[in-house]
Amino acid sequence: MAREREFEPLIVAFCCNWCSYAGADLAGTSRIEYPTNVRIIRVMCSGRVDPVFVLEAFKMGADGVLLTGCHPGDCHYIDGNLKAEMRARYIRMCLEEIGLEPERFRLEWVSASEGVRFAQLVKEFTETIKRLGPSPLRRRERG
Amino acid sequence: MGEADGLRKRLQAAIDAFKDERIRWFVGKSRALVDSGLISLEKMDQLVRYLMRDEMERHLILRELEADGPLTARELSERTGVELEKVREHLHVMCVVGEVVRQGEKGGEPAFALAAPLREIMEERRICPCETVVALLHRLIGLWEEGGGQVGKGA
Repeated sequence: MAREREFEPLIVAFCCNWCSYAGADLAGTSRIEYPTNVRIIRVMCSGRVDPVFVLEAFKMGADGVLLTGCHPGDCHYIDGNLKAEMRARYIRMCLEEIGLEPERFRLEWVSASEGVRFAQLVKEFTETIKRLGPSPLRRRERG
Repeated sequence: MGEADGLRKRLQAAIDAFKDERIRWFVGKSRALVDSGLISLEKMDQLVRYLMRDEMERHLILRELEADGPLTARELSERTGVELEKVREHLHVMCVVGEVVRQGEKGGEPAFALAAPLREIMEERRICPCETVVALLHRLIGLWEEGGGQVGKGA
């Protein structure tokens, strides 16, 4: 008997090398559980993430995109995370313009010592995306 | 056009727009401009939203012309969901900068086509912000004496 499968979102997370990726790594090495829906892409700085990367991720079927960087003042490149903050503002604006929920994109600060916070963030974001449902751009999965 | 198709087209237009120098410049400089006190964050948001919308609409038009051109302003408006007057304005701006040319007529209305392969137009857009300048002149001082942002009522 065919059962309706629970929607499992596909989330792309861009994590900066110096803080957030190390935070994600700490969550892993500390054996803190968090949903497996997230696919992490390591970038050298959150400021490296071009709005096009985020929009392309949505185009390719991501249900949500998470961008994480160092806390303000802690950026390895001084102000890369502040640049990312401004871009994130326009990414959300752009998502509104095209008719995709801006909540599908989130920017958060996670330091290298915040493994627990990283895991919590992924849990929360996964729940948010589950509430929103699959992206209209996601290809239909075959049952 | 289905919901997902429309969304996909708008998303592609947004990607194209974010690759253009005119949007990248504003996005790149926005924090410095706001920090300098030259412009408030709210004004900057309004400006970027205005530019983003314009550029996305122009890219929607370019993609439609590439797929099925020549097309009239009315056809473009139906296909893209952009208001007819805005389509006419965009076509006028794109004609001035040489991205689009008039090519024949359809049902008594002028039809428009791409002036060059889309790839070449996109490459030019990545280095040159001239549409923004032309559009601003058009809106602020009325580059075309009559019409005030409308390309010939009968067009």
